[in-house]
Order: sequence, then C-alpha cells, then structure tokens
Amino acid sequence: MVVTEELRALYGVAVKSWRIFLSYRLWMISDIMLGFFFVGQALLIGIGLTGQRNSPSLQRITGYSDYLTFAVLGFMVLGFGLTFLSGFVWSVVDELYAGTLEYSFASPMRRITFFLGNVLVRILLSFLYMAVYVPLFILIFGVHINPLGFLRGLPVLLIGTVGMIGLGMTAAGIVLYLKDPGPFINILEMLVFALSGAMYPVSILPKPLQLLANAMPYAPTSEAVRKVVAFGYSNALGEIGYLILISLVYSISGYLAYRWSERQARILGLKSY
Amino acid sequence: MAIIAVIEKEFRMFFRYPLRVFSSILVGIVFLLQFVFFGQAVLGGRYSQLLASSTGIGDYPTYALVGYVLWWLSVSPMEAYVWGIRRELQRGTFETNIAAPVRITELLLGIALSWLIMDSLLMTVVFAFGALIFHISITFSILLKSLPVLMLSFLAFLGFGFIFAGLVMMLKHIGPFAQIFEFSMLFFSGIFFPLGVMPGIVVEFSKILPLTHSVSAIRGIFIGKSYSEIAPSITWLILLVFVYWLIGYAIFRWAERVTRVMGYGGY
Repeated sequence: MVVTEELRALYGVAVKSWRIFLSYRLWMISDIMLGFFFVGQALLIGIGLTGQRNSPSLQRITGYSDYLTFAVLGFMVLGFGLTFLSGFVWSVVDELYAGTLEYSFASPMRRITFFLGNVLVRILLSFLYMAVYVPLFILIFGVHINPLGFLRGLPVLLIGTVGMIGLGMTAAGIVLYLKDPGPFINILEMLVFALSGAMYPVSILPKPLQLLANAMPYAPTSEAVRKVVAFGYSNALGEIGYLILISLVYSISGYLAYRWSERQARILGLKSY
Repeated sequence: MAIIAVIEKEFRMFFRYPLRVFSSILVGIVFLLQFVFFGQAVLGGRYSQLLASSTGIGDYPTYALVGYVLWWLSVSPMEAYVWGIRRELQRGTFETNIAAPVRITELLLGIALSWLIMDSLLMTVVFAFGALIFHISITFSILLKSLPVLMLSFLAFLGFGFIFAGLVMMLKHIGPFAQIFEFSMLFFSGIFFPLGVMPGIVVEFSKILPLTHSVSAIRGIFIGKSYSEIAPSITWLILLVFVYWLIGYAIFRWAERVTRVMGYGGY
C-alpha cells in the first residue's frame, strides 16, 4: 500500500517536472545542439592541429587513436553522470526560487521520492539524447562505435551511476543550507566537468588535480567505460574494482550526509525566499 | 548621468556575492582548459606546424587563449540583454525602470556596458591565469598595441548585442536561442581551430561576424604584426560597428513599438 502511494507520488513529480520542461521546448534543441557543438569542436580541433583523424599521442596515453570516439564516449558518460548531480541539486533550487520547496517537502511523500521523480525525467531525456546522438554521430562524424563494445560498457556505467547518485545526494544536502546556492552548483558542475576526463585523459593533469579527479566518481567511470568498450572486461578489472569501491563509498556517504542534513532541516526549518 | 547609476547598480549587485564572482572565474577557466588540454592531448605537445602554416600562430595555448577571451567578451552584451533584462522582468522591476525619467536606450546600454566591464575584469583574471599556467609570454607593448583594437571590438560587440535587446523585450525568454547563437560563434570565428578547416562558404559567412576580425587582428598583434599588416581586419571592424549599430537600433525600435502594444509585462 505504502509502495503504491510512493509510486503514485513519484509519477506525479515526474509528470510535473516533464510538463515544466516541455513548456520551454527550445531548451531541448539547445541541449541537443550542445552535444554536436562538443563533438564538432573536438573533430575540428583535431583536424586543425594534426590534419588527421587519429592521434598517435593519444594512443600512447589511452590506447585510443581515434580522438573523436574518445571524446564521444567521455561526453556520454559526463552527460549521463551530470543528470544525477544536476537532478538532485536543481530539483531543490528550482523549487526554492519558485517558493514551493516547503510545500513539496510538507506533502505526504518521502524526500527520496521527490528527488527521484525529478531525476527520472532527466534520465529519460539523457537516454533520448543518446538515441539521437549515437546514430547521428556515426552518420555525420564517422565515429566508430562497436555496438557490442558499447553494450559492454553499459553495466560499468551503471556501477558508476551508484557513486554519482551518492555525490548528488550529498550536494542536495548542502544546497538545502545555502542562501544563494547557484554559484555553489556552478562551481561543483565545473569541477565535475574539468575533472571528468571527458575530453582528455586525466593523466595529463597536474598530480593534485589527478588525485582529485580520481576521488570523484566521474573520471574513474569514464576510464573504466572506455577501457571495457575497447579492450573488454578482463583487461579492465583494476578500473572496475576501483569504480565499485568508490561507488560504494559515495553511496554510503551520500545517504548519511543527506539524512543528517534532513534532520537538521527539521530542527532549523527550510529556508525560503 | 543615468548610465553611470545603472552601471553602479549592476556592479553592486554582482560583487556583493563573492562566491558568484569566484564561480564565474572558475567557469571561464574550466571551459578554456577543456579545449586546450584536449588539443594538447591530441597533439602530444603544444606546437602545431599545421596551425602555424594556416594562421601564423603555431603555439596552441596562445591561439586558443586569445580567441577564447575575445569570444567571451563578444557575447557579454548579448548575455546582458538576454539574462539582465529577463532578471528584471522576473523581479518585476523592469516596468518601473522603464517608467523612470530615463531613456530606455540609456538604461539598456548601461546594463550591457556594465556586463562588458565586469566580464573584462573576469577575463583579465582568466587571461592572466591562462598565460601563467601555459607559460605564454606577453609583453607590455603587445598589451598596449592591442588596446585600440580591443576598444573598437567592444563597440562592435555592443552594436551586435543590441539586436538582442529588442528581441528579449518582445519575446521575453530567449536564453536557449542565445545559447545556440553563442556556441555557433565559437565555430564561425575560429576560436579553438583554424577557420581554414571549414568549407569556403562558412569562411565567407564568418566575415560578417565582428569576432572573426577582432580575433584575427589581436592574434596578429601577438605574433608581432604591425597595424598596417592587420589593416584589413580593422577596416572590417569599423564597417561592422556602423552596420550592427544601425541594424540593432532598427530592430530595437520595431520591437519597442510592438512591446508597447502588448505591454512590457513580467513573469
């Protein structure tokens, strides 16, 4: 009975979120174009600098000679991963600015249902974008994606997702306490963007940044997915093991951090504008 | 002067949130690093013979840094109109400001100018950071020589952005459209890659964008060209200043007439 009610609430939140998104349809076009912008830039930079589609230098560092396939896989992991971080934090911030957060939290549903309802729409969009990107990237840019290799990468992406959800929950807990959370989210998203290893291998970063990148779930996910897609599971056991560990740590710490912040919110009250 | 008051208001609102200033600088730096690091990973170094033969600058970090900073400044007035006016509409202060005994063009220009100055300050930090970590040597004479071209570019960017002032008043929420436009300018002006890799028709089209000439002129100064050598780019810039101010003003007047019928409204 409780489960059915929570599921109904989840559906309600998801529908509301979807309707809000649909009222600004141009954002969808803008989001999709962002992917083409990202991959198009990568291609033109590579051609403009080397005159070739393959980079021996990148192959030495990562095993990938086709820099475009390297960038596309990184972009997909980053796009999917940001879904959780952005979903968790923006679901709080948007309602905070609209002045409806207190009402949503007062409704008879669990907090996690509220967050997951918002994240669900973003996941759906993320898959929708991937369905648009993959065939068009292959068609327009000639990206080489082996369908079997691509499918092999999906379970690894799911392992990384657990850690990304944990990080998203921690961030949502912090956002509840900031008067002006916009800049905090920007900083966090930029850190994720820079340290995700989406466009370049993190090994070319300075040592402290490499450590920071490997301490977040994004770069280890990108590296594990790339390795599994290109070389199979048996050659990526180290990367997968590390990813499982870091995902476990983030999921536990995310849950604990959010529970703590929610308890605090019950004492101090939620801020509103 | 009303324009000074508008600039002061925008400055106070922006700098009273230090975290916001910091996040803006960080966004600027991260965006730059993404592309420079990618270029270096693909190249296996920082020097590209191919880039040198097509543009005159072989050092990729220098090439990208100059282009990127100018791109950011070129979209600043556009952002000011799109987000600055939208913010006033959301807060419900736009209508009262319009009703103040100040010309609307002065009010809007004040917003655009203040954003351009603020972005110039932020980009100075990003530029210094980029020059430091990528070991780009900059002399005082390069900076001094770039200043007049930069001022001319600012005039062109302000005129170009003015086109959006009228559109945002009329259509309210054009953020996604502006974003598409801003990213397109990265492609059409050869910010992170040489324009030569694009088809001829795109190269011709890029000439109607002030950013293309601004970037070309300042990159020229960075490799030691004289004013006479970059004269074609400067001539284009002067021409585009007039063209875009005229087009921008005409669109603005038309949009203002339409908006007066429909009402400025709010959110």
